[in-house]
Amino acid sequence: MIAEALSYPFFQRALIAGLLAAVACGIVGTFVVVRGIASISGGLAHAAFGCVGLGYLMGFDPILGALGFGLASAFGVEVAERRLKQGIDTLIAMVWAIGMAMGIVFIALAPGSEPDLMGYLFGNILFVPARFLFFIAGLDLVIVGVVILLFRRLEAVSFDEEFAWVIGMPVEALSLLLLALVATTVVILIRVVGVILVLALLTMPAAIARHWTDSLAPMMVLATIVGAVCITVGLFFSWMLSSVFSLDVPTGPAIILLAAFVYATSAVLRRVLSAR
Amino acid sequence: MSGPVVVSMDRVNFTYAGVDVLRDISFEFYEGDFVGIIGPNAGGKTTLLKLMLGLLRPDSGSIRILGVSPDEARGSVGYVPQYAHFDRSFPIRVRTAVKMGTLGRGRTRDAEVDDAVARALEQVELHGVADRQMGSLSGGQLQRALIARALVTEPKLLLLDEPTASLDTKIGRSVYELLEELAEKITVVLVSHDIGVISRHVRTIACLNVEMHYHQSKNLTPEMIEAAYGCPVDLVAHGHPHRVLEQHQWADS
Repeated sequence: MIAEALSYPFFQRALIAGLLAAVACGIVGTFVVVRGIASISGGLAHAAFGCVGLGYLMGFDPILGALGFGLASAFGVEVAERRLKQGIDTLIAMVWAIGMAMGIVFIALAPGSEPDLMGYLFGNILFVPARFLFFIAGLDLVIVGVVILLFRRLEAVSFDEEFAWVIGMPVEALSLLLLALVATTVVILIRVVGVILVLALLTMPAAIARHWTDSLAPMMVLATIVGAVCITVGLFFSWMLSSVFSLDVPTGPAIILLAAFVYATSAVLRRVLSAR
Repeated sequence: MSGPVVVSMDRVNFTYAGVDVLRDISFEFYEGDFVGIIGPNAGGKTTLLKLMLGLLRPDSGSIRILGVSPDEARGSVGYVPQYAHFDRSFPIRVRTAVKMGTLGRGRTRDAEVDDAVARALEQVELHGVADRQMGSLSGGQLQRALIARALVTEPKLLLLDEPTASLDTKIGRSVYELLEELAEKITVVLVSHDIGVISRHVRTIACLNVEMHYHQSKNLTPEMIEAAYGCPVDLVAHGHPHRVLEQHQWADS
């Protein structure tokens, strides 16, 4: 049955896309979790939606628009917080809402047929176009490269930003770089797995990995493995439900619920073990 | 006093949301000083430290650290933040956290860095727990780890924020003994709300409550404390109201 699933090209593409996404999300998600910037990531994901709409209206590739807009929002939020001393929480909520509103306005203004909005919001890992596999592979390369090159610095800024400033590190630039990595990951993966699954993959595997590791690099590796396992099992599980039991369980949500179950189990297990 | 000026402030003002946090602060600390700045909570102690570190900018007045602006002095100042504010679940080992202190200046060779880290850990007597996770340390150990991290930057000036807050007295004393040792070689400035402990270890005391009272001595007059705390003295030092002051009068006579 597993062999049968693997014989379908769409299933192969979904699996490859999922595994590649697990790498990006495992590494970037580790920073998201230890820095506590999950809500910024959510804000960026929805802000990016604004430019998906603009892309439709102006006729350019929505991904390019979203990437530009995602990076601009990351920059805007960071600068507004540092320089204008605005409450980060409020800024995030605003960027979140503004992005969605702009997206919907642009799409309403765009002529022609109704685009697949749901696809951008919720994605569908089973319909990943082949060229996106290259996008995600490219994303992985960039992320792995940047993190290997700047690992100690990114770790230091995540751990203690004030101290990093005091010893003369370029704190603002490093923190913007981290946000840019988050924005790029979110925007590229939105098209593949949708906003909701991106946020799940950025937070859940890393949160699970945190239970079992005491430093950042192993946490990244474990988060990647956990993400890959959740995605693989989720894919096969939803395929099995639909082919054997004719139950049409969407793949994305299946992966998320599986990861949530693993997280809860891991949290309880960790507690029980450390209480002994 | 002797030696060159290490920290100086000249008519520094800092307001937050329209309220004066620091008003007209002027003082000089000299090389080799071991200064304790005491004052009530919300008296501006942490703000004063952050101004010295360049983390905040004054509304008016000038600040010189080691002869330059706080921004330019980055990298020559060791900073030990309040350990209680740390996210203890952050996945980082003691050795890695201490190593962070070597990232500022381009210290190149790995062996040199590892050496400096090992020496700093030895100095604060934490070499035995170097590979434990930061969050698994006790309060006193965590405080020592943060001191080690500041020491590997090879600072000329060490600034500490409430180094013994919420440590029990015995462990707090061991932290101060370490600081006394360090103060033999570098200038040390710390802030604390704990007059009782601080006064037994530092060489000079400043009182801070929006305004600063500092006479480059350990002489704490009742007037200084009342000005700083804005309340009668015996309400200030919880537990041992009079003893603190009497000690100072004896020490000075």
